[in-house]
Formats: sequence, structure tokens, C-alpha cells
Amino acid sequence: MATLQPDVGLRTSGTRGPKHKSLWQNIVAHRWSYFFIFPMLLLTITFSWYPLFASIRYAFYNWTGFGEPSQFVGFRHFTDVATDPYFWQAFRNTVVYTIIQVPIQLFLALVLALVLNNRALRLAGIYRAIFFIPVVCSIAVLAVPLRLMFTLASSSMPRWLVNAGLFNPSLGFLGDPTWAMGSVISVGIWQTFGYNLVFFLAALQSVPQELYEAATVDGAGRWEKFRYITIPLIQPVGIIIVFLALLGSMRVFELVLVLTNGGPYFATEVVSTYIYKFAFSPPQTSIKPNLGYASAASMFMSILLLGLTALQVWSISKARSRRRDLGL
Amino acid sequence: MATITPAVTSRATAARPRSRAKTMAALGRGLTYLILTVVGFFYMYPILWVLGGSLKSKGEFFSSKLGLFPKTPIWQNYVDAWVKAKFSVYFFNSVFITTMVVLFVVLFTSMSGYAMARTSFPGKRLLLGAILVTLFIPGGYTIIPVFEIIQFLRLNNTLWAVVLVSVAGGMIANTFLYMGYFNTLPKELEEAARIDGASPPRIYWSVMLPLAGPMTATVTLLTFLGSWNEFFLPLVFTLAKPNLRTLAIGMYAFVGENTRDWTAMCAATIITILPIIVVFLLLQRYFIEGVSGAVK
Repeated sequence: MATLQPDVGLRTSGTRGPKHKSLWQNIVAHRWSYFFIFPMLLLTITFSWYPLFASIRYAFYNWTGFGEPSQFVGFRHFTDVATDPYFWQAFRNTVVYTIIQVPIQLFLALVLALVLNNRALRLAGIYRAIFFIPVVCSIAVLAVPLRLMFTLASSSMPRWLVNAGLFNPSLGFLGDPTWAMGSVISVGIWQTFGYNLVFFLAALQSVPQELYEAATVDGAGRWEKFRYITIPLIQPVGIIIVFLALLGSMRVFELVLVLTNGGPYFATEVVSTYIYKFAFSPPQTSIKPNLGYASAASMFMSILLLGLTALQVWSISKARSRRRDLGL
Repeated sequence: MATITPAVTSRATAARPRSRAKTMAALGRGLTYLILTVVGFFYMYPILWVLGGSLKSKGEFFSSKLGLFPKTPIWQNYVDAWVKAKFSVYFFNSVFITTMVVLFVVLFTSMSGYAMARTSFPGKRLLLGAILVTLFIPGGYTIIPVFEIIQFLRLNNTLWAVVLVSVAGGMIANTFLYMGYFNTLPKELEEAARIDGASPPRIYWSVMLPLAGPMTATVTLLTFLGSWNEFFLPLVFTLAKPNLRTLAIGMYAFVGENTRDWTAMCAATIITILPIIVVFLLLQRYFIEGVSGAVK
């Protein structure tokens, strides 16, 4: 860590000053350091730290976004959020999205990473690139043609599905409450799959090859090698991958906003789109903008995600200490 | 697999089973390639379909539905998207924002990362702690006060609003990246420059920043990717002003404005995603190293 290094300072004079300097002398001696950190600090205070505290204050006011918030309402927004069935519907949808999307995506990504990690596979890089292309494209952009693709696919669905009453071509995939969430999830898996593939590949490549060779000499089969070498060794990185995927899914926003806008009948409304509608709803919609209410809902979600992050930090440090105990 | 080593065996008895195993492995590899190609093709299908659609006539687009190839490719859709749908304006807005964001993020975070790594000014531990805490705080839900600050600075309805907030959003994580990189660099060059009488800004600019080239490449790529694809900030700050829209917001406007010109929409999608795909394919290795750095 940086803090353990001796002070080399950015002093203009090459000689070290007396041992016991006053704080002020120390500050003056480091004036260039403050110059270097100034833009970063100013921007971080203005756009990261201040808004964090300010949004806490807004949560206690009724505020449409114009002028100073003046109407203090205490904890009413929090109780309103907690008792709003639409909020809980959005929350439930977010959880459903996450617990279906994350395991499927991670399982598929791990399987493909194991296939592509094979050194004999010379063209692995090309396939890796193919699966990574949707990641570098913005999902908000891709979702626009995808909407149209879903509509066109709806009219090409096999007759028997329609006759069995399983699919209504006039509603389509995105207009039918029973199909909408599944469609959103499948696009979510498709677009961010490449991230997890690359993460797993990085994890697999960090496993020393000698371990596999030694295991082969000892007569271990493929499954044993996977079970007793690969899994334990990629586990710490695996935990990070799982939590990154969970946090990303809980915050799903653009995909839903563009693909379904939360519809039909709130079937795909997630917490982020719920908050967005209260904060920036266009005038023609029925929702009245209330930034205080949106702030309260945001805080609820932030605390939840912070809890998830704390769990992540805890499980990583636990996995690390277990590895240390094993002498790895 | 063991088969990558050439089967050079002197004994005739060993050669036969060895070569059969080799054939089996080659077959397995061929099968893997086949499956990967089929899966990869379907994986890319939506993007290929958009590409095909951007080259179809409007009549053909609806009759061919999910078909891939246009009978006779036409370029008119690109002209429509570029001129009529104003994607020329959106394109240059995106280029402006992304360029500014990358420049300022690299400059400011390399400066702060350098100072954080190489000096111990009073207050550094406090700042480091605050940075670490901020790294773990979920962002994204503080847009309301940010919006208010932008209004206060009278920057709403300018591209600078998006630039400023994006640059600010890149400060913490990239300072951390640069700090880690500068910590690994040897001190000798810096010391030599100091003895030669170079001032701290000169040491930073002429010695340390050039040495941090690989990290600058990573930060540039990740910032470029994030800024080009940024949706939420330009949505909040520019949706209402068509002349300020970025490519991503221009695409979103297709949804809101109920455009029926779907082939031009396909062309607009390609205009939007092609630059980043080309950059990605050219600099693939750095992209993937930069991204997988997140889990290391």
C-alpha cells in the first residue's frame, strides 16, 4: 500500500527538512500534491459526495424539482414507498429478473469458458470476440431493433403454440404479461454474457497448468480435475463474478426502459424504472413527478445494494483467509 | 489435453494407439468448432439481422421478416438516417462528449493517482479511506442532486453537462487504477529527474505519465466504452433537445417518436455500434485485459 512508503515528497528542494515540521510547513511542502489531486477532489465532492447527502435530505420533502424543497413531510415518503403495491411489484420483478438471469448466465458462461480455455483450440480468440461484441454495444441501442425483432418473431410463431392458447400473436412477446419478463431476461443474458465469459476465462487462465499435469500423472480424470483443482482455485474470483452479476442485475434499467418501459401492466417494471418514472416522468403520463418520493425509493434500493456489497466484501475476505489457511 | 505434443515415438507398438487418440482428439476438436460456429452464428444473429435490414428496401424488410440477406443491397437507409433522422448531428455530439470525457478523465486521474501513489501529503490517509468507501457505495441513484447542480451552474441543455458529470463519475475508480500502477513503477527515474532540477509538474508530465502508458491505454479504452454507450446521463440532460442528443439517445427517440422508418432505424443502429465494434476488434486484447481487471 502507498501509505507504507517513506515520504519522498514533491518538494522543490532536494534536501529533507528538519524532522519536526509543523503541519502547515508539511502542507506547504506538499503543495504540488494538492494541486494534482485538486480536480479529482473537487469533482468527486461536487458530483459524488454532496449528492449522496443531498438525496438523503430530499427524501424528507415533497418536491417537484422546481425551486427549493420547502414542504417537509418527515418519514412519509418512506412509509408510502413501503406500502406502495407497485413498488413491491417492481421489487419482486427485480428479484425475479436477478435470480433467473444470473444463474443461467453464469452457468453458460462457465461452460463456454471451460471449452474455450482448451489450449488446443487455436481459434478460441475469435469465438471469444464474437461473444464479447454485444457487451461493447450499448444495450439501450440494441434494444430498439430488438423490440422490432420480437414483433416480427411474434407473427412467425408456430400455429400449434397459438392454438394451444400459449401464445397470443396480437400481443406478441413484449405485450403479453406471461412472455414479457422471459423476453427481457433472455436479452439480458444475451447482452452481458460476454463479460462473465471473459471473467471466467481470466480465472481459468490463472490456474497453474502444472497442477493439471501433476493430477494427470496421479491418474485423475477430467471431472476430478475440475472438482478438486479448477473449482477451489477459481472460487475467490468466482465469488466476485457472482456478486458483480447480482449487483448488475439488481440495477437493470436501460434494457427494461427501452424494451418494454416496464409494461405490460407493470409485468416488467423494475425498481430503477419505477424510480426513474417518479423522478423524470414526462408530463403526459399519469405519474406526478415527486423527487422527494423518488429519493426515498432510491435510498431504499441503495441500502439494499450496500448490504449486498458488504456481503461480497465479507465473503471474499472469508474465502481469502480460507485459502491462506490451506497455504495457497 | 495431451495431444498438443507431437507424437514422436520410436517404438512401433506405441505408435498405433497414440495415432488413434490423435484422430479422436482432432475429431473432437472439429466437432467443438462446428458447435461453436453454429452457436456463435445464432448469437450474432440479431446484429447480423440489423445489418441486413439496414440494406433492405422498406417493402422487402417486412416481407422477409427475420430473413438475413437483402436481395439487392441499397444504401438509401444510411442516407436517410444520417441526414433526415439527424444522426450526423448525434454522431458528432457523441464524438465530442466521448473525446472530452476521455481527455479529462485521463488527465485528472493520472494526476491524482500520481500524487496519491508517490507522496504522503497531510490528509492522504483520510482521502484514501474516503475513496475506498466511495468505491463500494452503489452509485446511480443520486441523479437528482446532480441535476440540481447542473442547473445551478447553468449548464443544463449543453453538452458540457454530460461531459462534466461523466468525468466526475470516472474519477474514483480510475484514480485507484493509476495509483496502483504508479505504485509499481521504480523510483529511480523520478529521483534522477528531481536531481536534475525538474519541477513536480514536469516530472509528472515528462517522466511519470509516459511511463504509465499501459495504464493510460486501459483507462482510455474503458472510459471510451463507457462514454460512447452512456445512456442515463444524456437521457436526463439532452432528450428534450434534439440538437444535443447523442447516438444512444437518438436511438431511444425512435421508440418515443413512433417512427415507422424501420430500415433507417436499422441503419442508425449500425452507425451507432460500428465505431465501437471496430475499435474493439482492433484493440481486442487491451479491452479484454482491461475488463477482466475488474475481477483480479
